[in-house]
Amino acid sequence: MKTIVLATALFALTGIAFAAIAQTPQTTQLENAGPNPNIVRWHEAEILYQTMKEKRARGSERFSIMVHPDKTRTLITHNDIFARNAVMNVVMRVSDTFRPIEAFTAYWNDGGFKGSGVFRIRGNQMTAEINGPSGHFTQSTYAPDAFSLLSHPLAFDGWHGGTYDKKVGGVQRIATLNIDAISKPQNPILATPMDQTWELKGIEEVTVPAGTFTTEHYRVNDFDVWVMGADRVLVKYQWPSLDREYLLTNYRTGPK
Amino acid sequence: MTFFKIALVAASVFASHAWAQVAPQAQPENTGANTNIVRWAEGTYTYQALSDKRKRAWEKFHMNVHPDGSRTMIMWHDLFARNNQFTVVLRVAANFRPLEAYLSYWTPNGYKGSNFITVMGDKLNAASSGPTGQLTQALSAPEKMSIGTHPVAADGWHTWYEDVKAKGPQKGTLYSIEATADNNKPPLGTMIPFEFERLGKERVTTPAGTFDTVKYKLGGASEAWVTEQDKLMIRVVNGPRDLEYLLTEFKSGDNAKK
Repeated sequence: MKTIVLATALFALTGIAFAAIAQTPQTTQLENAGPNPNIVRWHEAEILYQTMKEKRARGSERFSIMVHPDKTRTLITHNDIFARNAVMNVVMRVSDTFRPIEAFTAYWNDGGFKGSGVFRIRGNQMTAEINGPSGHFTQSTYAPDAFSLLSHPLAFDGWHGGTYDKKVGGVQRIATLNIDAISKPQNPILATPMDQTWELKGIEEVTVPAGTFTTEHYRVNDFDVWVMGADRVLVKYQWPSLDREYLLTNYRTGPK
Repeated sequence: MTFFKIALVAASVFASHAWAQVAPQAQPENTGANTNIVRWAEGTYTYQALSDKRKRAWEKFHMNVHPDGSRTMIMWHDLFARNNQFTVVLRVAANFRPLEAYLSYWTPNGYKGSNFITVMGDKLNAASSGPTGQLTQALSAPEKMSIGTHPVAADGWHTWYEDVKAKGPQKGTLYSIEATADNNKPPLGTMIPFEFERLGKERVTTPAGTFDTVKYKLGGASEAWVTEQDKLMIRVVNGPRDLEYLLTEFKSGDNAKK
């Protein structure tokens, strides 16, 4: 797709010059009374962060997934990792094959505001506009045909394996661009390449606080994830070497 | 703050492994409240017709107040009556002046696009992306300005520069985002005059509870009831347009009191 990049002042250029509140058309106009066609289906839930051994609470995450009519998916999430004094707000849209299209991220960690930015992928290029304590940065980097964008909230962790080929099976390498959310605030939230290895271990029924679900169990690097359904909702994540687990709770899905 | 750009083509000194970036569990962890969240609030709005209470949409929001006084509001709605779906993240300074916003809009004609807006001093920079390509925008940002992203949760923030002792209408500027169903128009904004009037304090009851609020007239046609401390929207009524926006669920927490 040809991308046109223009830098222009658009002051008074559009004809939409009326207040936000006035932009909503009068309800006398015929309005839809059924489901929103822009939301084909949706999921929302919470993820509990805790230690595996003692079940000590470490934080929580809320997320909402919307699947759109063009088969793209948007995931909105915010978390409160009080164990690390971290806060992450992320909105990401991916294609029907879970390839990232765009993400907005904002991070707070022990050092305060770490930064925020938008990451946009066009073809094999990812460009980022990043703000933070050190100023404003742009980043342009190579985006492989199949890759995942590691933004760190857990709800996205099922999506990293979206390109896994189940017909081939075995251990597969997943190219990933990893956003720096954790280092000191002076470091901008740049994305750097890394690899993950994913292996499908089997189909398993898993019980978590949200209920019992049929899931795909994957071994990822040195941890395990269980994801369900076409939208790869994360159900469970265990990381024994770091004594951490993440469990789905308060799950709802629709349309209803 | 210095505003500068550098291109960083696949080069970074932060090439550490993601999983290794997380400190080992052996490191002591905080067991109290998150120091980056001073207080928080979240809730759900119902959009409905004022006359017959016909449901038009729902909207959810979550707001964090940070230790530097800045606030982050995440808002997303399902405006099924208009086949719109908007997602917005807005961060404002301690005085509620905008710092940045991200928004993503779907309209009856599909994906309209997204916009990432940064306000630094007297400059507003925006970068949109959508069916019409990528566009950037650079505007002067008056001191008394706010961003109109269209979800209602942050509409109380438009009054941040009010003079509480002033009588009559007060004027400022709204960076109003294009949100029509014409997806050939990118979701960039236009600086337009904005007017509001403080009408006084009122106690308001909604399905979410009873709230002490300040009542405003916003944009000439709407009446809005807004909390004082965080300027959270409780109720909006637009009589001429037969519209009502009502807070129906609400939770909040104050980590400073823990």
